[in-house]
Amino acid sequence: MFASPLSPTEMKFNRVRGYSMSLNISEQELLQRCKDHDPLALDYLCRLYERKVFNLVYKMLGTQEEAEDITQDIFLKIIKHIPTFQGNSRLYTWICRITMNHCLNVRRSWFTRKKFQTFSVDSSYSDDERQPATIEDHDKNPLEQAMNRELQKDIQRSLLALSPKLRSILVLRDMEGFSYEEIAEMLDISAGTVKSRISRARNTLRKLLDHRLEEGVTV
Amino acid sequence: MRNYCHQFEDVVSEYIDDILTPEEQQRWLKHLETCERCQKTLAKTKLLVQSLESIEPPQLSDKFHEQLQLKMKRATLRKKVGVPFFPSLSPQVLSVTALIMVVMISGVLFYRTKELDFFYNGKGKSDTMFSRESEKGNSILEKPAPEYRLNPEETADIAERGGFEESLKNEKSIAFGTIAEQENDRTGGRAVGKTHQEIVPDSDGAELNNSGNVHSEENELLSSTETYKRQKPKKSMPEVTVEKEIPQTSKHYRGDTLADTEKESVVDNFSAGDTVSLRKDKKTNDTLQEYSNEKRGLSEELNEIAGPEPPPSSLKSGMSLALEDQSKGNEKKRSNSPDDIILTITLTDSQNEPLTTLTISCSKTFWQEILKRNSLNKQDVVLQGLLSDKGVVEVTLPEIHPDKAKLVALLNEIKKQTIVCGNCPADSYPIAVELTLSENQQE
Repeated sequence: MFASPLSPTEMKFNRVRGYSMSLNISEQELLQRCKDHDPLALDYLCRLYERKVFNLVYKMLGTQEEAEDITQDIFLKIIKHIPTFQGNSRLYTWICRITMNHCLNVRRSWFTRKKFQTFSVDSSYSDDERQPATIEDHDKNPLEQAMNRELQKDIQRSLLALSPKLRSILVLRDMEGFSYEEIAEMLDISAGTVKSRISRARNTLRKLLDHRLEEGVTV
Repeated sequence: MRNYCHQFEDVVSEYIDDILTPEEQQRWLKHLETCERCQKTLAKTKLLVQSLESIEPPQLSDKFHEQLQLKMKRATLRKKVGVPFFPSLSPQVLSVTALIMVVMISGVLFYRTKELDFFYNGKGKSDTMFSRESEKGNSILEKPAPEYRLNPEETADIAERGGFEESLKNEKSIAFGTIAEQENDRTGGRAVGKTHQEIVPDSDGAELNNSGNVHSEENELLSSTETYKRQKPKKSMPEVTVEKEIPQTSKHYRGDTLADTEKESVVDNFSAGDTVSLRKDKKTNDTLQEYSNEKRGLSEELNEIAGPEPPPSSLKSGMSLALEDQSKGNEKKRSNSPDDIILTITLTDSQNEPLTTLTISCSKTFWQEILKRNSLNKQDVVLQGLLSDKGVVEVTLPEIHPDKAKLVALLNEIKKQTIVCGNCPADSYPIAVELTLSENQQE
């Protein structure tokens, strides 16, 4: 019996949704059953990673509705190509690689269609229910929490101003927590390139948000 | 010092991620203790990273998973079904196959249409078709005419009479022959229709009915010029060619009767005054006897088909003509009905020696009509004609002719038919021979 690839949060999530599939299924077994086009396994795979993939897509593209559609397209691509997955890396790493490549392609197509110019981060937050979930730090006072929320909005806005290469690096490293090696494997670049890009992306973003970060640091 | 701070900006990211070597870590730690600017840079960067980590995207919509499941089902179904009827073939292969089939069908239809057009209308056969036949060596224009060989009966008959020409002279028979040469304008002279109708001077003759069809007898030889060249009698043996007016043959004739065998075809577009032109397209290596038999069958078909057609202006309905050789006094083989009325024209040479008798038979109905119109009561009129050197046949009325003037009118109706002199000079050929009335020559 392999260890469950699910985190306790995911296990809880599945229990809340009433998912009937055994949570003790290992990644290898899940992968094999997905390769055999087991509908249950495919459904489980989708439920397991849909949230993560959606987060990645949203952070890369910045619009919720588009992110949902693109996430669905990414899962179709994953299901189509999962028989070709060799298992040399983690399944999630492979999925993230597909996701990042797809997002870069989508962004490139948007750029050619000038669609990306009409994007506004604020517009996606018009609905209160669609506001991004923030981790509330109950140790901080309300002022700090409000400033933190504003800072997150500014960070997201500034994040979209970065080039796709730097943004993808920051998303994978600081938002998704991948290691340098994993990022290098995912983006098919060297670890040194990852280091330099991360440094450049953080410095660029820090300069963009210098005023806001100054306030935050002071507070 | 400031230079050192710039360097720290480059490594602050690695310092936060704790991937520096311990020595570098210690060195930057010492620097940070004394440099406020680098401390702020480190704090800002840490705040930025924490803020990035704390950003959470919005929740997925409730319909997301259902929509995803629906898309997955559609994709699976599309993969299973594929292209209807051809699930294993890619669209590219199918499109290429369809294109090839369309090109092939178009080619076959195009070629077939040209062939049919030529066959039914006598046009449309392109030069390429002729050239292709020529390349194959099948062109009728390039093939030499096959040598005619007499059948055993003919050979024995001629030998009995002491040679071909001698027998002709002794028996004072007339060879009627027609050399009618027509060039088909439509085919630009390629599809040459030539009629060589020759009646050999033996016991049997040939008949021409009112439709102008040729009734072949046993020894009657009909052949095309390219397949049969018969040795002509000398000039002293006059040849009278009867070229009949043939009503325009309907097009279905050729298609219905000859298209199946494709052995022969008749030059199309008969019109008044045209000669029956028979042309042999294929089967050039056949014996002449077989060819003659086929011609005989063709003549019967001509009778059947051209019969109900309206008569030409010079001939009245129901009238039939028969050309008979009476020089030997044999029984005439006639295809006329018993009710037919017979006009007989005796042809003589320049020395007033009777050569043969041209008998013209009409149906009783037609004859009665003519008689009624001309107030004639006699039903049988025998005409004797003289074939002069000028090619004029002078006809006498030896028997009853109650009203000469009316009989002349009758003859004028009859003479409209063209009688062609077969042995006239080539430059003046053909010459129509007129029927003239010579009053009471024998009386």
